[in-house]
Amino acid sequence: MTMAFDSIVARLQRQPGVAGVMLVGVEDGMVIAGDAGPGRDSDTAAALAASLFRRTRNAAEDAGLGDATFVRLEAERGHICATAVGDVVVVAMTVAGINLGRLRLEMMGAREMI
Amino acid sequence: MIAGAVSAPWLDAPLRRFVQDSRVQRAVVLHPDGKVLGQFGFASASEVMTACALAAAINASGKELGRQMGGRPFLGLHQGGRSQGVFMGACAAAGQECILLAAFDRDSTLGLVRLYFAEFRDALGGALDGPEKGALTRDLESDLNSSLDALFGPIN
Repeated sequence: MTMAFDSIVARLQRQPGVAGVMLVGVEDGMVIAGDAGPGRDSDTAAALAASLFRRTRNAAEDAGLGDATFVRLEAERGHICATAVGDVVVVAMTVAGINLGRLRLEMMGAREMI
Repeated sequence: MIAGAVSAPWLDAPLRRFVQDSRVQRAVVLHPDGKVLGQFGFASASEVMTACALAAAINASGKELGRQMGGRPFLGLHQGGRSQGVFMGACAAAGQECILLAAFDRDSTLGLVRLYFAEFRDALGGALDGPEKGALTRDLESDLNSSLDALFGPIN
């Protein structure tokens, strides 16, 4: 199982502009595999990204939109993208100017692999 | 403003910040011997005292278990449930060991609690660098008991 998670992380990390990829427990916000990239604290990023995804998911459900499938946070110097399947959140941290459509497709593919 | 918080003055701000940021339901800071230093979210003084006594016992057991298994004491503990979790971590103020015990529900996660506990631990380390450094060595138990009595009423 760990090797399967590692291969999913490695596949996403090969995408141009992706600085860090993590699989995070949606319930506990802990890192399952991967890291947040150079110069970033993975534990901090994982906890906050899982919290972001949970809250966005709750907001979508409260608004009657159903389950959140993909969340993207745009910041000055990049993006945080997240999608979840079951108890696992797939988180990718990217630089600005990345091909987000391609990354989204890859992350949705990772969901299927999980 | 967090209702129901009672703390030593030097602990008040870091504990409030931790509770607000991590969204835990209850938190208590104590000495390893079980003396309470501050709390948030408990309904009665007896609940605080019970939590402190149990946390002190768990801390002593965990330390000894760590020594037995790996030669070093464990410094943290987490117990997860279906809807609630408990986290306990060691920190230090003015060179003296303290323990934080926090209970959280699905509004928070272990990752968030650990993240903001690290900030709490850092804040506590620097909280007593000034003239309040002697505060920890005073008999805080009587001060806290007075505060708990004022908030919850005396224990029968």
